[in-house]
Amino acid sequence: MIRVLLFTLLLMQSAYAFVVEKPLADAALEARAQSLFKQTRCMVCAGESVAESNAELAKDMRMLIRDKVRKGEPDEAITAYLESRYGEEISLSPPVDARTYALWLLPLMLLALGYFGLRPKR
Amino acid sequence: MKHWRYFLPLGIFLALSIALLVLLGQQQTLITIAKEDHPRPLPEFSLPNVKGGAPFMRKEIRGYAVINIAASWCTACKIEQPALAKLANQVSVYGVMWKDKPPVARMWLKREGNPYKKVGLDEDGRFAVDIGLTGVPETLLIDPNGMIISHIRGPVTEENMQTEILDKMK
Repeated sequence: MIRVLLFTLLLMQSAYAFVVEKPLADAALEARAQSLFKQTRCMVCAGESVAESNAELAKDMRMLIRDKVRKGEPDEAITAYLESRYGEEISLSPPVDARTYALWLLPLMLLALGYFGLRPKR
Repeated sequence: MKHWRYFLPLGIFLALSIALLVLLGQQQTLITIAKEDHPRPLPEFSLPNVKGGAPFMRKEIRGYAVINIAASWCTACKIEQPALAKLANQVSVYGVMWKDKPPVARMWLKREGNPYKKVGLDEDGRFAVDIGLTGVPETLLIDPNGMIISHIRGPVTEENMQTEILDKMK
């Protein structure tokens, strides 16, 4: 009997640990929130998005983003909001501007270099 | 060597590796977010008072003020308490207990000295994400215009208290 009780207690603990997050009732809004989660870096994780992470802070971010989507804020406004608080690093896709041209173009340049540089001579 | 060109990719790879190693090695902290050169307004908030009285609200903050976000379960928050007590002699220091329970938070405040003018409670973490928190402890300096002009991530020390707070209040 005591074992059954203890076991039940154990189950209850795990149930507490796993609080299911409530998705937005409107499927289209939830889809928008999900796509925002994927573009948002979890600031305390190593290279994970807020969509993937189980960190406390990631949960809070999901809550925040869902709140804003529910209120009808456009994606750009939400992204701008997050960037004003956490800096550009929060975005998982680096912006294309003067500082990042090298980042975006280097792979293409290297590919071209590889092609022309290593093309077998006829 | 006839086929020197075949070593070009390896050469580029090595050059890039060394360049990145050197450049990234210079960076002092892993997270360099919300830099102090990007001041941002302190958002509106109204947080329940840990002691149970009137809530801690945005409109109470006037002039220069410091908001320290801490938690009773956080060890580094203990370490910075002496520094905060010193700071409280020179500027209003407010506290926000993050993801905490009021009775536990009250006990912790009593034990650690409570340098705060008023302490709010952010149980669900909504305030935290609104100010750009990544963890505890973190400390904000608010200027008389209501802008966050300094954001210390990690404990307040004698050193960063001078450079990030006191020097910026002039």
